[in-house]
Amino acid sequence: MKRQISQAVLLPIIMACMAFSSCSKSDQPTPADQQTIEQQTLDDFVQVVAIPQYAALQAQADTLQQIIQLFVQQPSDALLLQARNQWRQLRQVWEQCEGFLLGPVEDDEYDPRMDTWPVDYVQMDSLLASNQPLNIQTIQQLDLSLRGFHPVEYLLWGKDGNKSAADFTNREKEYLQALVADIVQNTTQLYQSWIPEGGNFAATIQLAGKGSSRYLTRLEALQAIAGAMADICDEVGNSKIAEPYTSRDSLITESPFSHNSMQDFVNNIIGARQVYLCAYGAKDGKGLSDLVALHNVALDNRIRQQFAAAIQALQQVTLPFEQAIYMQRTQLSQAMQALADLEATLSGPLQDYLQQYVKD
Amino acid sequence: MSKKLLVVGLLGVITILGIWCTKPGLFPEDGYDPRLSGGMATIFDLSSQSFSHPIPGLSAWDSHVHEKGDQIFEQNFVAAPAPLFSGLGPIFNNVSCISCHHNDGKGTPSFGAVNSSMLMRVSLPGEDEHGGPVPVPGFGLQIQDRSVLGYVPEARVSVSYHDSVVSYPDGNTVVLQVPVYTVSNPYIPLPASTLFSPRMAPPVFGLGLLLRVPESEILSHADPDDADHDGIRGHPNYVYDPVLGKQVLGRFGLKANVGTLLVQVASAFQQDMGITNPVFPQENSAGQPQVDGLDDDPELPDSLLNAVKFYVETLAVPARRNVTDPQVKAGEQLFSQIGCASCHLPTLYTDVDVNFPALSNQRIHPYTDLLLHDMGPALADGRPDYQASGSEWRTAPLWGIGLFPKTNGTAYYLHDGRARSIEEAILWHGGEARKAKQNFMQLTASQRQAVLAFLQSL
Repeated sequence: MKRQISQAVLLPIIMACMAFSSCSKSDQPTPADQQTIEQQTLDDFVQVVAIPQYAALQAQADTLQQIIQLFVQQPSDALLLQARNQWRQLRQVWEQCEGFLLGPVEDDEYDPRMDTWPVDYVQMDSLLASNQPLNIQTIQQLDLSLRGFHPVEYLLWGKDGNKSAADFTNREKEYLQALVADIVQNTTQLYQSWIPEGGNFAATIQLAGKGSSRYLTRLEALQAIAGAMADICDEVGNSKIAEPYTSRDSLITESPFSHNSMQDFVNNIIGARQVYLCAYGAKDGKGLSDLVALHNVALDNRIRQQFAAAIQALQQVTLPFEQAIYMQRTQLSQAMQALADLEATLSGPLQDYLQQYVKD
Repeated sequence: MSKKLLVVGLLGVITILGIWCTKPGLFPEDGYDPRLSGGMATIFDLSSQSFSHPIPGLSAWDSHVHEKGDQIFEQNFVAAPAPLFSGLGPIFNNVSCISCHHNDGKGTPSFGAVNSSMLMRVSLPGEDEHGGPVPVPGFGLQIQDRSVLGYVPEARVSVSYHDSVVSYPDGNTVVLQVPVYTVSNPYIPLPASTLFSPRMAPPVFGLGLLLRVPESEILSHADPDDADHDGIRGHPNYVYDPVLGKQVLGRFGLKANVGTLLVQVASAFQQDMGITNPVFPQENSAGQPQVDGLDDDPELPDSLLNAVKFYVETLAVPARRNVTDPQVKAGEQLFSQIGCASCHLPTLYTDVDVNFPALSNQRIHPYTDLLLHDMGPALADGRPDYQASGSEWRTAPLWGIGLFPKTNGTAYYLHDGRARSIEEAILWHGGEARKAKQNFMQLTASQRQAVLAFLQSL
């Protein structure tokens, strides 16, 4: 009997407590909570988004190298197709990594070393026609426009995108192997530069405001991350799309041989969204989104919606970009508008929000 | 009738006198926001992109031109003939503007690599017909240390360092690295009398403001004969401008050896990248065995040349940080007291330019006088450039130096990047700056920290 009473009394009390605590919602997070989330945002950006993506990038480059190896040993159209698909996979991860172009990728020129365009046909042709040895050492002495993803693209697809396995010369195969070895080395070094056992750029971000040589406050680090998101939206909208669009020139597109440019653009924005939401693959963590939602749910919703709108607008372009600049101008113009809206929110209200609420 | 006129005239005189007499006082010093290094052309950004923003208030069309210039500034050029961005080389130092001017800032003090920001100027003793340096036959005025396939670099240039320890009176020490430059494998022998001057790419923001500082203001700070006996002279450089066809005041370049942004940008395209343009329509290898022989000059159209010129002209200045910090304020005072501000002038004013409100009539804080000063033997290159002697350099603007670690990853200072910290850079000062350097060394450790904290806030 006693037991029954105690249960009967306790339950309502517990429920009442729960109800009260949820009703007397003290909406303002305490400064300590706020700081914990700020720190978690930096930690999770590194651990959930940045390092795993650079690890994936390296893994994709390794896979491409294995396929190229097989292709060189026994050229077949099936393996060529496989290599081309793997090149797209690698590009997907890379373009998503461009959602956070800060740190070593920028300081140590990994971006230009891997992603320079246009391809320099003139020099590529004279290089292939010469008897200069083609290996990773000689490749790394070459100009940037003769290295990286786009020369590989040019070799895999050919100028008109219709190359077959039988078309490959021995010199082209050697060049291809050397190019991919160079990419593998770059992606490995890039990954190494972030992890604690290597260059440990992770610590530079995670120790923001606590001794980081570069970010004297957490605010600086968070602003750098938000700034990188805005920059890539700006670059896709105002440069990668706008330039060929306004000059109606299909020659100045990013990945013209594989017709992969539209995918490149979508992946750039997906990459920036992954940073904002702090979600990559199956993992997620505390991101800028959580930080914004602490004080301004409306702004968080707006940014999420504008990300979705921008990605959707880009996906409305169904033709390859090189054709879309002539045939789907309405869709492209809408995509540029959606990107401009997103960029304006990221570089305006989001930065203002951080400035206002991140106090350290 | 004449009485009426007299009355009206008197009234007029009284009114005018009244206006003259109620001369408004000067705007109080503390009414200015000290963060605004570039006046209205200041931008608030602490990221690695802090040197890369356009000045506020550009029209839609001007923004478009700025954007276009930005793209070309970042664009890698390729060997001719190519459908796009053609004209690199055949001999060059780097493939794009941004390769040397990383994030529109300074670069990395190495030669010949993809991210190298150094080049080696050369000349023979004497003066050319305009008073400038004499080109070295077969090499010109700078060594292009890279080439497109099928050509050879003019020479290899490398740098190595050895340590030199500087001790403060209080016992603390700093290790400086002393550079040693080696030029090897020239494609033809270099004359024994060749003069060399290694230079690292400087930042490119705020140039539209420096361009608009009136010549009279710059000259007003010159003291070539040291009339005030403070040991600091300072004199302008006058250089030949190929567009205007006459001598002009030099403002840009590490020896104030260029007068206008158009010539600065055009010579960088032609000399550093081998891209001919309307200002310099001949290849940098013209008259040498390695000229490309193509009939494609100018390789860069004037619209793009002008867009890049416009881009650097309209890059904003980053705002200062921590200006209310007591240590920073103490450092600012010490900076003046020990004599740094005699050449690194804190405040200049720009001229009126109705086309660019953000650049017009601005009170700016570049920390330079744009004049040449003898910096002593340790920094001397021994290569005169117009009126700049072999030991003279233009006072470097200090705005933005606190952001170099962000824009450049690893920061380097001085004309050839030999200093790895601002403190090292100070300790390299000599010549006219020797006294100020000695004053700095006499400070207590905490006072020195204050000066450095102030410089970091710029």
